[in-house]
Amino acid sequence: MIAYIENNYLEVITLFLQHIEITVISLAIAVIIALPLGVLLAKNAALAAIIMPVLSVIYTIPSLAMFALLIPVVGLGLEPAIIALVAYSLLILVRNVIAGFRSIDPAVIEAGLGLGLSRWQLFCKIEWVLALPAILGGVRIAAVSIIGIAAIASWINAGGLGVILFQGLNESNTPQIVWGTILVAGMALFVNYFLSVLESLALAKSKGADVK
Amino acid sequence: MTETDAIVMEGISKTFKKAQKPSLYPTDLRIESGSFVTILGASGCGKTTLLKMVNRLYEPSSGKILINGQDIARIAPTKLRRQIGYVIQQTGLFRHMTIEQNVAMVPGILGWDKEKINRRIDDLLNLVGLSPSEFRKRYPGQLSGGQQQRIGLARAMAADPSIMLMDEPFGAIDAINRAALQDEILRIQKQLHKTILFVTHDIMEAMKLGDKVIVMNEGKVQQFARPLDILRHPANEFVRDLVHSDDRLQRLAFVRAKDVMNTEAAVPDPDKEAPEAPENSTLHEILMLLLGGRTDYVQIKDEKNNPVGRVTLKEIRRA
Repeated sequence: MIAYIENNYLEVITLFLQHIEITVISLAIAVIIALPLGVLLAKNAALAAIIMPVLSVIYTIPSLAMFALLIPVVGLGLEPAIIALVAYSLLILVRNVIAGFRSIDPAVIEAGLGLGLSRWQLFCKIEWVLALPAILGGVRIAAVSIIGIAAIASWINAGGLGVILFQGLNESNTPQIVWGTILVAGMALFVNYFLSVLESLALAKSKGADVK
Repeated sequence: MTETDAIVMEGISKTFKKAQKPSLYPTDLRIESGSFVTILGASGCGKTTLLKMVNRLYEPSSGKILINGQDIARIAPTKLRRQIGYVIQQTGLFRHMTIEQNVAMVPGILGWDKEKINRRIDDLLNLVGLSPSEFRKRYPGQLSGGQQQRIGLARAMAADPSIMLMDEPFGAIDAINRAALQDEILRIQKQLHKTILFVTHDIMEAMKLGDKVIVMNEGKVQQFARPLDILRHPANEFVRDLVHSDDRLQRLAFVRAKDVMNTEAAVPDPDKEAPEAPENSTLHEILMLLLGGRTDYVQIKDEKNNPVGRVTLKEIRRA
């Protein structure tokens, strides 16, 4: 077990960093799309009824099939991987953004408008803070999913920790398979923990508490 | 339109999209400046619709509303609302902000300087009976329902609006705290001369608080008059059924001393130690004083403590 790392640590570190890169880029793009989309859909139920089923269908496509479908369009490598990962995480993120904004007590909105806050002031000073815990919950689940699915993306030459796993499988190298699994799972666990701390801080803040 | 009217409604009505019939039929109303007007009716009678058109949370389907002589359709909604206090039953406090941040919301938007806002927060908290040093840094979630609504009131008054709209503000508060809050809002209104439109479904509350009461049913104003006039001269069957009570004691709670007292006998009798009561007391309270005292009348005094009249059993029987 230890021997594998001793002999391959440079490659493992490179693949580990690559995995982080894929995850961060995909998550960032997905969040940038999901935030405005979620805000829009939270206030427009008719549009949500059209878009959410589309996102759900995308979510149900098996990841291997999705990667295969993207090969004729964008070829192999990082690009199709990121496109697929963004597409997968959109459902989770958008759903949570919508849930976050819809969970706000209508009386708070009414009072805010009644006091004379503009829609924009209401969004920046009030709604955003109250929706943040649910949004961060979505980011957490999306991040963990992306880390897992990104391992499969090495199948289309996107790199990352999946490379170790697939090599191990091809060569029936058990220590390698185990190391690949430990690293992917460890990364997912760490990210999950880190984001759940942020989430509970945001929750405390939204409920009224001094967050230092 | 006279200068003493704070709110004038001319033929305003409201029919919501997809609704079968109007929530409010064309209505004309004049609310005198500095008066406390309660709007009384069951849910769905149009009372909240009426209220929310004054600060343009709803836009009327027809007619117009003037505030201090200005057509509100020509004032930007945000600007208009910052000049009108708004208090709702669920308080709508911003739970992620401290009490001082909640109260400072509108002054902050209006760009007041920090020191002025700070003084204002202290003044307002004192006005609503909460100690600034104790409450400024707390969060709404750490307050009782009654305290939360006091903050709702303070927040609504932050920019010193001349008009206050209150939508069943004490509806979710227990009876004891509700009575205390009713007394406070009366005191505050007397002190600051705000024009208050106050929606309620509680007849006791409407009669106790209102200089005048708007009785509503099925989207129409049934009667707009002083509480005593509503009791004595109900405009129609609906109002009569509403205010008619077999319980004479309860009826007495609707009538105030100043409306029925004998003003010809204003000077106190030096030989007798008659109980005294302010002119806003209800006959229910006066009766209690009569029963507890040794004289056959209660001396009524005005705000400056001058004797202005007497109430005896005769006046109470007539009420």
